[in-house]
Amino acid sequence: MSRCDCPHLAVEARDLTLRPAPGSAAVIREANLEVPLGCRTALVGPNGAGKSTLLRALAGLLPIAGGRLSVNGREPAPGRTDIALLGQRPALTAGFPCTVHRLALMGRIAHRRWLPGYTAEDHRRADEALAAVGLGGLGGRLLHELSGGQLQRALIARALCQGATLLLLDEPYAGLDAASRGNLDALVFGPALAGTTVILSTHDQADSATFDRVVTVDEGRLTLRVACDGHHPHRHA
Amino acid sequence: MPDWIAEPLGHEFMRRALLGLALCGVACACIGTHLVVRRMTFVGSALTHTLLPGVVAAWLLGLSPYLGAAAAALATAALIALAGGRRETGEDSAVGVAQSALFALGIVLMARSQSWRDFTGLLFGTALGIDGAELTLMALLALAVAGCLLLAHKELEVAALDEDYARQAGVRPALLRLALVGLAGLAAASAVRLLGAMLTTALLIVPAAGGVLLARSLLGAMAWSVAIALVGGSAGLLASYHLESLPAGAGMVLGCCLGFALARLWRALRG
Repeated sequence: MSRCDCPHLAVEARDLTLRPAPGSAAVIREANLEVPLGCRTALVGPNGAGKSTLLRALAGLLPIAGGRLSVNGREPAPGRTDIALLGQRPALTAGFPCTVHRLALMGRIAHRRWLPGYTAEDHRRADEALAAVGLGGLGGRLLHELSGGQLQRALIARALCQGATLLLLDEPYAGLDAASRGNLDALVFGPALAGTTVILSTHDQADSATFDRVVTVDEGRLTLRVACDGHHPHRHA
Repeated sequence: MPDWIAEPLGHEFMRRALLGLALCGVACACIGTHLVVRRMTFVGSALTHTLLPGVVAAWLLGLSPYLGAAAAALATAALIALAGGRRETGEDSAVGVAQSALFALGIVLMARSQSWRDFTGLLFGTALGIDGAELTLMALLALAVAGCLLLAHKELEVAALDEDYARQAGVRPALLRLALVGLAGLAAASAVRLLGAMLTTALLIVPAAGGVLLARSLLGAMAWSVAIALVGGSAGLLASYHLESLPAGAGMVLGCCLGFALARLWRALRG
């Protein structure tokens, strides 16, 4: 069965209106969107079209200005452990003393908020997540010792450790060399994220060529351009 | 034990100064590490100026300088929150406004007393005059600051590394930031008698700047910062006992600076 044959929806938007900031003009206007569970969906559109705004709303970081939005059947909100957003050019504090293992471990924060420390189970999950993204041997490295592509995989490991079933990637290909793009594709379409719904934004049409579904974001509208037919080729590594 | 250590330790005032340094060192170095990794050292620097009206007002009213310093620290946090909470004013501008306003108020209060000389101890500290009650207060403040930091360590760590992710995870980074400013103020207040309003910032920033260079984790950086504050500060205090021209407060600060320089050298040699 194709991942897109699943009848359940990970994301459902009805007449959705979004503003990037309170009082600003709407960038998404009365738009509708359905993303089935487990689907790989690319949001394609020019810069400023509202892709990042939509992803932030899906992560519960932006209040909706109109309509309805649900993720896994509930309204998005901060603190949800089933949603993870990797922002455009993740703004990690430069020079912060932190190992790769510790970064992955932070995925457990929403499960352990205001409880002292992390458990042995949390550490085990962090190790598993790092192994799943191909960074099993780099847990002891400092973050500033990683390449851009490795850092991105470490951040995806954090999302896996969190237990996210919806992974939102905002322009993840930006600034990556060909090898790192290949590694990211292998991860997005590979077994590590097999049970995860992935929504990825890109301004480059070419990046979306092998996705299950492609949604164009332009002039406030969301248009489903490619729907999964069950025979769509994936870029397996 | 060599004589140059044993002889100073034979004096009660030196033992109290060292204990005071240990207590303030723990509080200031731990919170200072958070300020350094978050690139918020300007807050520590501003506290130097904003504590002034508190300690001067307390002196004029015959109250404990710690009380005045703590009140001024909390006023600093509130002013930064009020001014920085608006979109059109950034946090650095808010700190600048709070620093200028409170420092000017301190000068007004000093002028009203018409005796500038009386404030030397408040400005530069009287480490060798610390009494038992002050040590108890320092211990309580150190316990409060270090306790809060350890209890919220996970949340503070995530918010310091990745504010966006912290927000996603339901942690409130803006609130934690404000709490850090308040805790930094309390830590600075604990050191006001040891180093004076003008030098407390050194204990907040210098050991932490060195500790961050040596560590692979936030907790490790805090431990290294405390070590630099205690070892460097103690060395400076002992040096001030033997060198008449070296005041105790300046000796402790210079000892911490030496610790930072060694950490910097180690990092440079390691590549």
